[in-house]
Amino acid sequence: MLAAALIAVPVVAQQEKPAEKPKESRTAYLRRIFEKDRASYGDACRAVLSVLKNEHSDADFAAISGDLAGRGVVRADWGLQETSLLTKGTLAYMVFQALELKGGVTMRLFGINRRYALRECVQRRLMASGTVDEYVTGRELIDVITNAAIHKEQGHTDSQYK
Amino acid sequence: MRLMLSVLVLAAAAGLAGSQEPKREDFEATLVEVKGTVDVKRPEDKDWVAAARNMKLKKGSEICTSVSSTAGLLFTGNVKIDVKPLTQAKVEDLAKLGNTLNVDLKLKFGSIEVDIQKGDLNSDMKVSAPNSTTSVSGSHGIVRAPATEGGCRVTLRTTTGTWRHDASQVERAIFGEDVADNHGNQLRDLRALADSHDFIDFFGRNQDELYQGRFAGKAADSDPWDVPFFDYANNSPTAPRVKRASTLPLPPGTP
Repeated sequence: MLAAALIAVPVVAQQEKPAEKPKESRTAYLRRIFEKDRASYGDACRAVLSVLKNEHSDADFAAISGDLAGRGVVRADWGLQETSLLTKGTLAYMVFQALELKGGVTMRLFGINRRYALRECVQRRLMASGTVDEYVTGRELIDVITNAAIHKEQGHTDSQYK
Repeated sequence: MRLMLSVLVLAAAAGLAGSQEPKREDFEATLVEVKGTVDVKRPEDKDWVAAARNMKLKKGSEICTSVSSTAGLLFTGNVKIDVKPLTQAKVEDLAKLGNTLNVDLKLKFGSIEVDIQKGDLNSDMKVSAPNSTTSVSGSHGIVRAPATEGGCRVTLRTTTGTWRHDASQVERAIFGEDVADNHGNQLRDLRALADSHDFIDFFGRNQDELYQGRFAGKAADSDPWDVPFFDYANNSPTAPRVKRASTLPLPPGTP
């Protein structure tokens, strides 16, 4: 009886311990995003920060989102989690802020919002057209990040369409 | 006896014919340049590993670059490929057949820049994207495969060599006579099949310029807008008459 209890205790302790999520490193996230039907907010945060810093970032979500919030790229009042599905409006807002784009008169007067950010990103050919609440696929996210990186380097995305 | 002799002669002829075929030798590409975060997966690797300079990549190897990261792959002294940022590509085939180097690259997403100069080895390079294939020989250009569209865009940086680009969904064909380089020379050796998202460009000409290539001769024309669309707008009885800039009176005081 005692022996059975001694054996059972560590087994229970092992079961209660939450399984640690393996840390994804280097380019693995890109290949994972490519296969996803719906990109997540966490994917976008990592990718946008990498474009901002011109280097790949392996930090965890809390550190990445904190860094982006500090730079004004994301807003804390969104209340989005790492696994939240990414919408085109949110991605456009992040890209718009990350690239420090200047909007039109309305945006300068009333400030940036997701709807106008999306229009601006579409006009600059950073993103394909769509609606603010439309979900972003993994492949779309890769294309947007590629375009954003080119835009940051060259000031436009013309070379992507030649 | 006669039958045996003929069989022997045939066998000898077959042996000779077989020996004339170029021998296939496996070849390896060398990573000559690695910048930023670049991972490779060779056939012997269980998982992706960090790329390093002078690493050898053979048939079946894959390469993936992250943001602001590039890799340079040297096949021979005259065949080089630059893997651009945010790209995943696989070396489907890499072999030397006699005097020819066969390279088959599968581009999953991203872009690569191909530079093939004249050298001792002939090169037969094929770049496959999800819906298209581009064969390259002796030239310099960029092949892009956007992740979403499934198509491919090709930008040539030279007029020499032959690029053949075939898309699986074809709506319009672009042939050599449709395009010219910046010096007005018609490009030869071009066979391109393109649809809405497969597009070939020369020297940075955009799609509109390419499609209006038939009006290229109008460049030196004093009235370059004399094209059917504008003619219709101007000659239509219902359309308002547009006064052209060339016929506007000069402001007073203009020399």
